[in-house]
Amino acid sequence: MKALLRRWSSPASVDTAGFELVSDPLRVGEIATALRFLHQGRVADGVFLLVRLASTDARGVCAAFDQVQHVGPIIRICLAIDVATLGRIDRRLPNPRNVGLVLDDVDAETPLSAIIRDDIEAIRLSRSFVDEASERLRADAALRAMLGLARDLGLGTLGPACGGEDGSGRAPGFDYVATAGSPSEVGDELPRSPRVGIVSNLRAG
Amino acid sequence: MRTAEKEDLRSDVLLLIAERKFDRRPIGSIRIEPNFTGPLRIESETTLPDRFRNRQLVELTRLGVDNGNAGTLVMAALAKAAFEICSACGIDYAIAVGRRSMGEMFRSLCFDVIEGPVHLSYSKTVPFWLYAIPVAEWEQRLRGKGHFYFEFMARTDHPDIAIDYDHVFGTFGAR
Repeated sequence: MKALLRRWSSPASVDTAGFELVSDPLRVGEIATALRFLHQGRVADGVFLLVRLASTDARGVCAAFDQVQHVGPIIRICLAIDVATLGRIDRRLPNPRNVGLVLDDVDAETPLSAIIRDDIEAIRLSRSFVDEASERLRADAALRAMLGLARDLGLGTLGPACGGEDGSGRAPGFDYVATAGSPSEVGDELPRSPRVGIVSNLRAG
Repeated sequence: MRTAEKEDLRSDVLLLIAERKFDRRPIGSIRIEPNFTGPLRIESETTLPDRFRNRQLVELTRLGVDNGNAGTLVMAALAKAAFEICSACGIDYAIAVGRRSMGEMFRSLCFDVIEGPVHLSYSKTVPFWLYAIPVAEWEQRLRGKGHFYFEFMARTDHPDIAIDYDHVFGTFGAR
């Protein structure tokens, strides 16, 4: 069984890329295990590693931060959280050097009050929202407004690769887009020990 | 934004860079150039009014954010850091030079217009204006105007603004 990695490319800078550990959302207790068994050399040329975190609360997010710190990653670990988790963060989070939060699955239903939270440093737009924006002007307007807000706040933006990079002017302009093709031909072998809960969450490689 | 300018490398200036936390990409900058060792750059183009004579001045240059929107949080964070440094170093006035289109941004930061239009040797066709603010009055001006920047600038301890005061005082000296 292998860990799957997806590459995120920066359209503005061909030399800049990030990675995503492709899996079901990880529970807090699985974060450190996942990072330990991911050969970090695989992602050394990236600027971030995106890891989906299962829905939790402020205490869970803090515990996930601690786990990341304990592993000592060589690149920034961005924990992708849902809007419900963000809503449960009721305290000022620690501000560690090498881990942060990404708001996941952002779409037209996502409240702006979530996007402007200090706690997050990037947003990932949902595939269905971006697809809808390519077909409906009103959804397109909402998407562009959200991207503008994110830039005003200094947030990074991630989204699926889509049409428009052909010069038609319709590309939304994400900071990072998922590289086309199936993730992960770069996976690392993970141990099958029963104590490694992460294994069951990773897709077969 | 990613390319160093010649003045960035001067030992007597401070260059503030706003980096996006997510990927450390530079998304904004401001350079603080003092008059401690020589006249400001703008003084080779025009004579400043008398009230600036024998005062500790800085010229704010290389001011820009990634998407050029003056109202961004990025710009506010850069301005906050610059004013904190100027306050700590006992700077009397911060001076900036910009085209008319920059005026809105400087006025939003409570700068006064002190001269303009001025034609600069390096840009003969586009007129520029000079803006200045007494550093000691900055907070008071924001508060007096009920400015929406006040809370952010003067009442928020922002953990993401990291100022290395050893470096600041090493460059500007503790004044």
